[in-house]
Amino acid sequence: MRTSKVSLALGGAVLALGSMSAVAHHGWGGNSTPIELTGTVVSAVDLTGPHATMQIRDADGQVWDVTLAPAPRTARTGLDAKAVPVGAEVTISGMRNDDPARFEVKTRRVTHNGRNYDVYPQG
Amino acid sequence: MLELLSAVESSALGNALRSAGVWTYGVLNLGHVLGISLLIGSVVLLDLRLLGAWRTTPLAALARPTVPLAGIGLVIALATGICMVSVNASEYYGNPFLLLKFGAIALGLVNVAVVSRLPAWRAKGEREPTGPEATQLAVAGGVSLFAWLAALGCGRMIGYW
Repeated sequence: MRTSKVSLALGGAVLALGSMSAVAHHGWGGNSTPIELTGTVVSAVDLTGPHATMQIRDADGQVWDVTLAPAPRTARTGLDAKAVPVGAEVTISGMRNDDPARFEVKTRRVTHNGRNYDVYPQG
Repeated sequence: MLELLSAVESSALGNALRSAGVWTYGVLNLGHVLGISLLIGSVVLLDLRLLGAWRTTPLAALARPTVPLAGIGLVIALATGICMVSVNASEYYGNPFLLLKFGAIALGLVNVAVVSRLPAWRAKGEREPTGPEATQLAVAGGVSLFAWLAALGCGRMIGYW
């Protein structure tokens, strides 16, 4: 009886934690609006942190933080600072940050010189 | 706070790790998970014993493997955690879970210091705790369980903020 109560409590806790992570799916929860941007690279691909990043400036002069996939995955598409250097013109598509004050895009695809770098291919 | 984080990021450690290849962060993350597994796995056993589970298992017998393993896990988690923060410290600016996590770790460490000074803990291989002492140990076990699970939870949520 005691054991079954404990396993019930543990099972409940596991379910609660599981549904929490499903709601706040890592990194994409706060980015729900599709966006496509064309601009110039002002800060080249950085393959160091939990996610690779770069920055671009759009035609209006706004600088955007471009969040890419984790570094190994981004690098496997061929996307690095050599392929897309500072000054390169790129088009990116992904989901923009829901906070209007944050100019950040979780990026699925970067296009440069006619080549697509699909860091998160559409399922 | 931003100045502190920027200083951590531009430290020699941060620079070295950022130039160490695309798998660096993933390997650090792996080490962090390993350290946390050892720590949480050990403290949960010990804390539940302090809270009254498995009374037929002597406290000293359970403390012998769990305390050093928890310590090793904590050291691994701290070392890899410092490395991970130094890679992109400034990006944690304004992340409430980071500060909550540090608070939880501080609470856990204070609790360790308190427990290790309790007479009942120090005499665990020699005698059984008295009634009030058993309550003290149970409270300490509860605080420990709360602190380390809170540190775990806040740590995981840092990436979702």
